[in-house]
Amino acid sequence: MGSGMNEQGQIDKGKALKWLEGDERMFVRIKAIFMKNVPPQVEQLKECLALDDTDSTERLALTIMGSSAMLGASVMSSEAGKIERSAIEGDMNAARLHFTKFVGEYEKVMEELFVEGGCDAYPGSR
Amino acid sequence: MHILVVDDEEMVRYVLSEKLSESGFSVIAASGGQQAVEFFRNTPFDAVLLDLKMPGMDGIETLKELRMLDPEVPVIMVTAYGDIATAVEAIKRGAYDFVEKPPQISRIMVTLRRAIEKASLEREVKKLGKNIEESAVLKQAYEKLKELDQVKTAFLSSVSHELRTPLTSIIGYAEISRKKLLKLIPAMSDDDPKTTKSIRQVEENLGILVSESGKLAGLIESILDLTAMEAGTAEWRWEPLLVREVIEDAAAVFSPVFKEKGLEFSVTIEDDLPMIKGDRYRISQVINQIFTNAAAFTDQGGVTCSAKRVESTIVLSIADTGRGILASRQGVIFEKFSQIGDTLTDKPKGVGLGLPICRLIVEYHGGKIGVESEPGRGSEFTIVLPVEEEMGI
Repeated sequence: MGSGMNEQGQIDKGKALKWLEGDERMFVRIKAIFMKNVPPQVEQLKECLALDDTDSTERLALTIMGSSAMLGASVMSSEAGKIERSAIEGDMNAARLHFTKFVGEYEKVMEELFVEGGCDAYPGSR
Repeated sequence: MHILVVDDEEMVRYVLSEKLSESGFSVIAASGGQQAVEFFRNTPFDAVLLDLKMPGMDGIETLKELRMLDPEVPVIMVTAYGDIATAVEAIKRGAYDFVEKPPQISRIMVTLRRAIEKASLEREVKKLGKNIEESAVLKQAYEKLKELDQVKTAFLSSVSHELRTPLTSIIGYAEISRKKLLKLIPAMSDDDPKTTKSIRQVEENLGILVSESGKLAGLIESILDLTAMEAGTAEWRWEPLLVREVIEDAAAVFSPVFKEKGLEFSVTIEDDLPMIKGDRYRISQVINQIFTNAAAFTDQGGVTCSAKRVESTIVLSIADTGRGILASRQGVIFEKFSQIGDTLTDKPKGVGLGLPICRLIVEYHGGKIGVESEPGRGSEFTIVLPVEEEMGI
């Protein structure tokens, strides 16, 4: 994958660079922060959903929504937002359903990040 | 200006800290409400950027605690993606304004500067024991003074720029002429000693011209430096910094200077001194300035330099056994154009910009600089700098 904005990919680099004021170095750094922080958050989110913990589900989904939006991963961010809204409404069944779709988007984003970074260590990468 | 950034998202903390530091702010980042309150309790801040939704103590609770500790410090809420209703609630509870995520840096800068300016004006007004409505005249006068100060700073900066350009030519041409004469002199015949003597005299005069112009160029650089810092346009290169390295570099430069004057010189740096977040060149500028003063005003005895950790700060001390500073002058040596040389020796050295620049640099680092001195016995300058681990990034 090239370093420019990828119309078909999961990460809209142009969008991310807009709020980073075009700072490429900072974009590289936030990708690294994303790759470090988000996977354990997704694991926690999965556990919270299993435990019907609405508060933690809402908070974690919101955090993930924010991180992915900042990275330019709009679809993943939107899916996390759906989980958050369901949790706010107390509908954990709906939140779990959204989680299934969210995981698919999350895996695509992670795969893209690992391919871009020349790394094949991500367990979900094929 | 010191800003506290509070956000549980590392990405936001990182970007805001970096961008604000690049713009000359001194930033401390906290990853949660509890930590923010701790920082706020121990460090004075000019403004706070506070995330609304955080685990544990959330933004609204944190805002309440901060307002209780200091209701005058402006708090700007960073709201999560469409959560405007809660942000409005925060404003009702005393927040100054809100910005949405992802945080647009330019918007944050404008909001921050406006908030700090407003808080500063309100503090001034409160000091005078009047509210804003009653003190319209004072406020106007304050604005006028501020405007005049900005005009003065701009004027100084502009004049200094204008002086620097021709001065560079003067130094350059004088240096070239002097070098040409130096090449010419050995080849000159002894048949005409009068001409040879005259040329030697011209060469010496050119040397004085270069040396004095160099001093003038130094003064202009100092004025430009000071005006840039005051106007907030100075460039800062923030990085994790080992103060030990900066002290050792400065000590290596000044050790021969002190030795040549017959002064004892010792440096004691505590092991495992933590890092600070700082600008290497600027911190080195501060230490060099104090060493320069120590060398200039100490004729016998010695100079000692020490650095140690005290709680969440590094305390750097430089003491000399020099002439000392009169008690009446100690309060003004960090003010512009106080001309300490006058007081001590009746021979002015510079125009008194070195220590004011040091003060600005240290304050930009979130620290403090002070002096204790006794005429005839010496002076001790103390610099206190916050350590990097307190900044949480």
